[in-house]
Amino acid sequence: MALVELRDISLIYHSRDGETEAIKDVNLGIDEKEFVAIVGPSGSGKTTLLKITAGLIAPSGGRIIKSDDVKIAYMPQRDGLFEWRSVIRNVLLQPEIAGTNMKLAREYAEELLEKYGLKDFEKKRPSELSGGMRQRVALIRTLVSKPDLMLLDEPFSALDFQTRLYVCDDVLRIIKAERKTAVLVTHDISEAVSMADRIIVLSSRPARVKSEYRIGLDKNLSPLKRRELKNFSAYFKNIWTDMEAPDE
Amino acid sequence: MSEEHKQYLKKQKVRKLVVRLVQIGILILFFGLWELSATLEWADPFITSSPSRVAKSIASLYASGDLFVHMGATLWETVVSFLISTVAGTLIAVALWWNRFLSEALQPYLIVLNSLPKIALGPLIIIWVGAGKGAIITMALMICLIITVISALQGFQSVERDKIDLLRSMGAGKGKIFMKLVLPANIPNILSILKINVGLSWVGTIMGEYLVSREGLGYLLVYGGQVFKLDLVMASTLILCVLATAMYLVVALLEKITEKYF
Ligand SMILES: Nc1ncnc2c1ncn2[C@@H]1O[C@H](COP(=O)(O)OP(=O)(O)OP(=O)(O)O)[C@@H](O)[C@H]1O
Ligand SMILES: [Mg+2]
Repeated sequence: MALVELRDISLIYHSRDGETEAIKDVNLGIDEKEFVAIVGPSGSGKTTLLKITAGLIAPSGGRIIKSDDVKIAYMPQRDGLFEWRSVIRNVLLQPEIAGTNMKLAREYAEELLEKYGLKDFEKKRPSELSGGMRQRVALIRTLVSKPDLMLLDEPFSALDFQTRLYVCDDVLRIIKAERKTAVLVTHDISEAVSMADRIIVLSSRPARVKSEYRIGLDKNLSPLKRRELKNFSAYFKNIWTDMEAPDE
Repeated sequence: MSEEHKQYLKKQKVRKLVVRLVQIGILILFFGLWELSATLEWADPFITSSPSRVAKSIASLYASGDLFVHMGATLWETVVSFLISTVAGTLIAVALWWNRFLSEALQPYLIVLNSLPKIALGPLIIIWVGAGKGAIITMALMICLIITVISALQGFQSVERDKIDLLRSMGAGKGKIFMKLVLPANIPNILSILKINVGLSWVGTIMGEYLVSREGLGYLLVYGGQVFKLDLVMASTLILCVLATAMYLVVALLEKITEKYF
């Protein structure tokens, strides 16, 4: 059984200037320990779909099927670190709000910071970190709540191309090491192919599931290495053609 | 430390010293010329007064014990209206942030109140509040409060949607969103409101004292003008400069201290 399942989800934004149909009849299941990438053209409704899954927006139609004890963490499109808080206090935001045991949370947070090379920056302000480090901090902040499902909205879009490749490696390594289920939204096909187990291609707005790809690249390789595999470009080309093709 | 950096530091130090000297120079030059123009009768000291006459005027105010009465009265009114308008204005802004409907409903009234020249309310205030300290403080509040509400609310509402969503996804309600995100993100904004309010509360208080008062620096200014005691007018203006600057510096210090934490 899927960890979380979206069934016939649709969403219409209402505003004074009219209505915008953002999502239309999306059906999607996410299995445990799976890494799913959602790709789609800009403005297609990817962020909206993620927000619905996170429970931040109620869908206009359809429902989300998940058991109550499935904890979901959401990482917004920009890293959203709070500049007035030190790295460690940023990371501890969720336990602070949920009022969980701070001592345990702190231990776990420090363990994660240590493990992912941020120990020395614990007391620093986000503005003193590089873009890649900020992204790692944001990811650790999402991990601290021990979520069952992580929703990542274009976590790399603010980074330059080279940093992006390395941060992809980092992020996937962290997610695999912590044995998490994740959904990654991106409009970068090569990023999706290099990281995901499965790729969902969305149509342009209103978003519908256009096609689905199971990626058979060697899971033991890092995203950077996977980019060098022979099949990589085949996947890339297929998905590219698919995205370019007019929506039926 | 490299030789070049040493040179740089030294240059900066010298520059700072020169700036300070020029600042003091301007002050001396200003008072010197003023005094000179009075002694040499370039200008009629009866109209322009002079530093020595101003000093005499302040000394006589001090001797009669009036100096601190007037300073105290104005300072008290200013500080009270500053505090009330800042605290109440921020609280009202919080309420309006909390209740979007309310803020939309009240929007036109805020705009009207903000555009209205507050001095027009003078007669009403005197009749409703009475011709006393209450009227002066009310006048100052009219001037500071609305603009505080508007600027604070604008700051509150411009917090990034993404960050609010992040907190909501962590299970935060409105109260926590305000305490953990909106308020801390707005500390710089609130501090700059404080700075503006220092200036505005002085405007309001002096304006209030022009309308009604039996004491205070505004009263001295009006009285001095009516009986053509320009020494007194100049003396009050000078004291006002000093007090207003002192209050600004206190707020600036407060800003420095909070900046360390935010
Ligand atoms: N709050 C809102 N009110 C009205 N329309 C909205 C709102 N949020 C998004 N939309 C519209 O819904 C559509 C989908 O937006 P969404 O942000 O989900 O797209 P996206 O795929 O994440 O885009 P991007 O790749 O640029 O991040 C867009 O046309 C957008 O203009
Ligand atoms: Mg988006």
